[in-house]
Amino acid sequence: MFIFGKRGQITAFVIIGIVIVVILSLFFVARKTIFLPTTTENLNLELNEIESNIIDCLNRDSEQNANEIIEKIGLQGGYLEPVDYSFISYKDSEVSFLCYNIPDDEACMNRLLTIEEMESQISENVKQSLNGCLDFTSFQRFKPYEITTGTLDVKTKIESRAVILDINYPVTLKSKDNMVSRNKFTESFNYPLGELYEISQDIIDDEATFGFFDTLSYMQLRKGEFKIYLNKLYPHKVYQVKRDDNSYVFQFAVEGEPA
Amino acid sequence: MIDKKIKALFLALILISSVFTISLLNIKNVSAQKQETCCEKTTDGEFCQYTSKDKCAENSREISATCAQSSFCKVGSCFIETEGKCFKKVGKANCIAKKGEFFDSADCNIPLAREGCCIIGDEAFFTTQARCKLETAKFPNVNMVFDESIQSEALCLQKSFSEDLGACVKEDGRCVLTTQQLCNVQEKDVKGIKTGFHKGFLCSNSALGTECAKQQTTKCSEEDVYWFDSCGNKENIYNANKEISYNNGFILSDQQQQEICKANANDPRCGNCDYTAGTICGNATSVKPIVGNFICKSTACIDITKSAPSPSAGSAKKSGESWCLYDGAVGQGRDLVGSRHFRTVCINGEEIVEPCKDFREELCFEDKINDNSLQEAGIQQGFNEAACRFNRWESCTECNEAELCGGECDGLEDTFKDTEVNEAQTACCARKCCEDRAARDCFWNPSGISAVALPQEILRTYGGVCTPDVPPGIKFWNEGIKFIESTTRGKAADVSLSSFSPKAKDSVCEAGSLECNVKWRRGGASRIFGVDSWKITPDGNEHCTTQEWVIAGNNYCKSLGDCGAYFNIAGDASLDGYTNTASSEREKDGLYFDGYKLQKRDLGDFSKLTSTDVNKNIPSSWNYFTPGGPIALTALIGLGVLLKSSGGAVLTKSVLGVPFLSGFGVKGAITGTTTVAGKPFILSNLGRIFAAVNIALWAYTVYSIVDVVLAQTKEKNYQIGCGIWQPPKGGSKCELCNQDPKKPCSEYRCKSLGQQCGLINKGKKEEKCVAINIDDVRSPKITPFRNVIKGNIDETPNGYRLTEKIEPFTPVTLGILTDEPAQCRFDKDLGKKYDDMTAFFGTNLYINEHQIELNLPAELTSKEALALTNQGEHTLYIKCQDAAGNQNEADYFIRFNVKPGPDLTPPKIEEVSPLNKAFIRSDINETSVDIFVNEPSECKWDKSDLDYGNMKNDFECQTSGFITNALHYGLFECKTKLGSLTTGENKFFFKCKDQPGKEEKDRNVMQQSFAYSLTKTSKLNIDKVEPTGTIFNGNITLKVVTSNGAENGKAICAFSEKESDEFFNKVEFINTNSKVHEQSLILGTARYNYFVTCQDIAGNEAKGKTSFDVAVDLSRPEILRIYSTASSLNIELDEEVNCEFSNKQFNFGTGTLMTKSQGIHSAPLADKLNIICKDVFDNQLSFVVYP
Repeated sequence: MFIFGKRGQITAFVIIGIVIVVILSLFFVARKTIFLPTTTENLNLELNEIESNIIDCLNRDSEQNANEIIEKIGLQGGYLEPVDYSFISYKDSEVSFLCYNIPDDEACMNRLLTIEEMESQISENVKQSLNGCLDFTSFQRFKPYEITTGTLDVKTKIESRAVILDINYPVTLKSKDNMVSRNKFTESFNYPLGELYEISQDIIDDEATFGFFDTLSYMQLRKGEFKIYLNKLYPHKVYQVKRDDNSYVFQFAVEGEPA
Repeated sequence: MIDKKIKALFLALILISSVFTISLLNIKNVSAQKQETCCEKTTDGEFCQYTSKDKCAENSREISATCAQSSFCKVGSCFIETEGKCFKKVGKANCIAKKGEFFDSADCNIPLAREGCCIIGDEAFFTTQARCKLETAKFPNVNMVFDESIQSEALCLQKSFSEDLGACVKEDGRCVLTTQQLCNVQEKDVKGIKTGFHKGFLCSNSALGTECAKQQTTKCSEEDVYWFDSCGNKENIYNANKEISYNNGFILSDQQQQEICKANANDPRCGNCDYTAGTICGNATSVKPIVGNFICKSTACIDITKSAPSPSAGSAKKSGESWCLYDGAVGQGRDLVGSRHFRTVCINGEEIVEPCKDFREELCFEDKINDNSLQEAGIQQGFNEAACRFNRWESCTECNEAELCGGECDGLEDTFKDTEVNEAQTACCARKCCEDRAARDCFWNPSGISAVALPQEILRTYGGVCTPDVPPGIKFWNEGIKFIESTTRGKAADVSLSSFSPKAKDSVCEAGSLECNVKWRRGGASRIFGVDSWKITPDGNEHCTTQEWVIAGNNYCKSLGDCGAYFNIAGDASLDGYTNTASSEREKDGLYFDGYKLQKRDLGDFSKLTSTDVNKNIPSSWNYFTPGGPIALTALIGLGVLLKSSGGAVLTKSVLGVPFLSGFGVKGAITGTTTVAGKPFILSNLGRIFAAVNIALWAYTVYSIVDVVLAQTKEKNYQIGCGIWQPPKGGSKCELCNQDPKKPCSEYRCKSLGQQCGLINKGKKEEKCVAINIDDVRSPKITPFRNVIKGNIDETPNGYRLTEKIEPFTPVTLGILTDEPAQCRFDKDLGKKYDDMTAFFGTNLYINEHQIELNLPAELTSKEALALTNQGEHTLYIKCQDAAGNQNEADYFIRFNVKPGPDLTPPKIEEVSPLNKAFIRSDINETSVDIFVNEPSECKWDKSDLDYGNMKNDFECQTSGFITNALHYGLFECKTKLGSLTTGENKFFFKCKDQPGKEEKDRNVMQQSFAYSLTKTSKLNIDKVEPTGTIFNGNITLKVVTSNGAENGKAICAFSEKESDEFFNKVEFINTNSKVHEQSLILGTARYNYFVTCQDIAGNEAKGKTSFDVAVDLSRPEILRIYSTASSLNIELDEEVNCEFSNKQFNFGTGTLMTKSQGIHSAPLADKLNIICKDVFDNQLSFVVYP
């Protein structure tokens, strides 16, 4: 008869314990995956997780995340990809001219940046960023349902104190018994881009009319709620606009000419 | 005696031959300018860009004019409905591309863009009605409230609706403080919760039964500290007495909010801040409030950055104040090289610095506000206010040539002699022009001489010259020194300043280059007795031999811009930009003088230029800047001859501690008598006295005759070279540029700190000014510049020699290359230190290619000179210095030989101005002509080709015995006026004779005249300007036909809609430079006036104009009446048309023309008539009639 020594007994019990733990773990995992009840409620919960994934994609640590895109458009005067000779290099950014020089005229010509243009650029860039990130293959593994997705479309809305991304991305979870889908995911970013854009237009209006803008009286009128910084990089001007209580900056350049 | 004479002559020759005629060749890199055009759309997708032609997109319209002057890109207002906004000063094509509506008025003065106050809930903002509509649309069931009567943003922002606010309670107990407009909840009682809108109630009011607890936190709202409830709703203004603030759960009215308490800065008990009094809500720092973390903070700026030369800096400022920051002394030509003006503002406790435009193109002015007109903007009376304004320096030198002006300068007849009045008036007018602060920023530099020759008495009162008050900055460096540039994805508009130059730098400094002729005389008696008593003649400009002249020359030079010798902002002086040939002069045997070399101490005391008091006396003026106070450091004294002047100079003020000097010497007087004991000495020896006097008088007469007849004169010309200021050597102070975050570093500022300073990482956050190539310890290597040397050379490592001998008066170009950017000097003596060498080899810039052109005077070929110079062999010794200050130890030589023999060659006229066979304007009867001869000469002219001696008219030439400087390409200038010009060709003949001062037999005269002609042209005429009348088509061709003038009508024409525009401001016709000039335009319906100016090659100008109407009808004809008679169908329409008919569908032109009588069109009746009517604008109306 094979008899274990004391040591051998302990070892056996340890091994049995480990096996039990593994089996239990597998059971719990399987409950959430292979054996997940595909009720509508559970499928909706799964959709919530998918939504979180999408939002995580937007906010992932990358130059291409939505935060970076919105910050970049602010630092570059409303243009994510400025064309040659339409910008000035300033503190690592390509700051666009929003008012072009008129030869022998102190005033300048408004380049006419619109909110719609900025929204369109943000939408396009976020869409490209998401396309490179969204992938539910690993999410779907061992799940008792199928994930189908539609065409991704992004719409941006620049509000006064926020930038709202409406992501139209039809996602359908289909199991044997049930089906749920969601088309729209929304995320809001607290950047006062709209407000700062309006101020930049006021500045450009004055530069285009008079060739001059008084930062001090403008800030005083608004009780310092906004700060406007002017730097003159010969022969151009660079304006930086921000809220006093927010670090987001919208900066742009006004083209000048040497004397 | 004879030996002495010969010796003296040889020494004189050697001295003279040591100074060559030098000409700085202006090697202008002429590159053809790219044709700039206005592109409607560029290849990059941008609209209305003034750029090079090749950047225009295919099928895009373009015009050779600025976009503002084109019809498709003219600027106007653009209203974009989707944005609800009007954009000012937008190019038309850009507006249309962005689906906007374009209006000609560029300032949005259109009905659609009228702004008013848009009210949504408790928020109000100043915007257009369209925008208000868009914003209101975001809130369902909210009606738009737009108050057009409020026409000011300030009033709109102040609009308060607290009386309309109330608690909006929802069924679940949640509550929001809002307006009734935004509260869409029905009023009812749900289990004790009073739902609906409750005006005047706070959400935490217990009567409402909400879940919101009162007064939980404090936060900032607008400028005050408010209580907030647990639901995040704003309550009433913070008061440490909660009961008073809570007001039993009701909203306090505006007045009540103001009266609840009055907070000073850092008041822990009250949150009622007052922005106009200097407080605003902010995070508590030094003082903690009783509750929460927010307090009324002071908006003042307390710890203001101190700056010694800035009188307003340092003291505490209120929010809304602004002041100027300077680098050193300001005005009166004292601004330091590299300096810049800054404007600082105080806003809510923060000090923000805004630089004025670099290169001192903008200046900072400050003053106290004396009225209340800016209160709306929060700027109080008594506030310090500053602004950057354009530096209007460019017209300063024009004042030096001011015409007579009248006014107070008219009544000078009583003060001056008749012969002097005109000059006094001119000088007075020059000063008046200079000191006209409404027109320019200039400074009347007091000196002994003005641009016009002035007698001494006038000089004392009106002597002076107009210079910029704040000299402009100059781009004094070139791009030879490479620096690290940032890399960007695309091409930035300016990575470096190499693409343009802020100033025409050469012309700015060159204006400070002056010359002065000093004359010596030695009487014949002195010669006979061998006494070397050379004296400067009374009109010989003795002041040009003084130290004061050297200093004054630099003072004038540096006041023109970054020229000459001066300090940079670090206090380092550079003397490289200033040369004065008088400095190297040395006295010899009673002749000439010991010249003075400019020293650093002559530039002033740097500590005083940056001291606290230096700008204290700047008088305050909001609109302009008047200099005042002492001029201790920059007084100018007699500058010597200013180009035209021949008057003497008077030293009028003390300069840098040098005592006042007066006049040219004092003549003594013979006075006094003596007596002998007993009787008067005079009476007892009368006869002998008379005899003695007689002898003395005879002796004096003979002496005087001999003195005059045998007198000798010498003349020498001294030049002030006013060059561009050069930074000091090395780069030890580059880092200074990065030290003050309030004064950002720029390339101009950085470069001024040292030759080696440069910006690295441009465009990056790490951009800074550093010393480049600090490890460079090697001096520049010199090699021949073969591209400019004509002929062969023998080259050695230490120099080279021209193998062919040079003719006298033949310009010879010598050149060297350095292997790094370097500054080079040369001298005739071997072994001199770099700093002691006479002149720059080429320019004073740090570059790689250096060249000079020499014109060798004939004196060098005389026997005596040849004997002393090894049969005409001459050597220049060169040393160079790089930006790091490394200088060559050993000299580099250039050797050449001059052909021996006397000058048998007559002079040659090398250049003429105006050019030969030039055209002259029709209204000119007389013109000045300058000729440039290759050697000193006397020249004459006549209308007939005569011998030199028979020619009647003289040129005015420099005729002194030896001219050592020529201002133009090594040539010598002669001037005259050619008068009585008649229409057509006017012929003249010039001849010259060389070597003035020599005996006639040694002089050479031109045998063949220089034939010169000027063609006086006829008046240029404009024969026709089209179109006129009414044009029914928007595509117009503006056409002009010219005739006569210089080239039978060939001219360049330009047009404008403004009559007052000068020729150069008008838009050139796209097809011009011929007799017919055309420009295509696309115009809308309106009346147009075009003003045309044409100029031909002679400068004849003709003006014309045209007016026309454009009527473009885009709408189709409309039927007024249609009726039938027994046999015909009749139609009446609202405009002049032609109508055709058919019984089937057809195209216009193929149908049958309807008869027309008195506006009624008729056709025979039929079952069905297809009718098409067309107007003159090709608008068609088609219809079918079933009679």
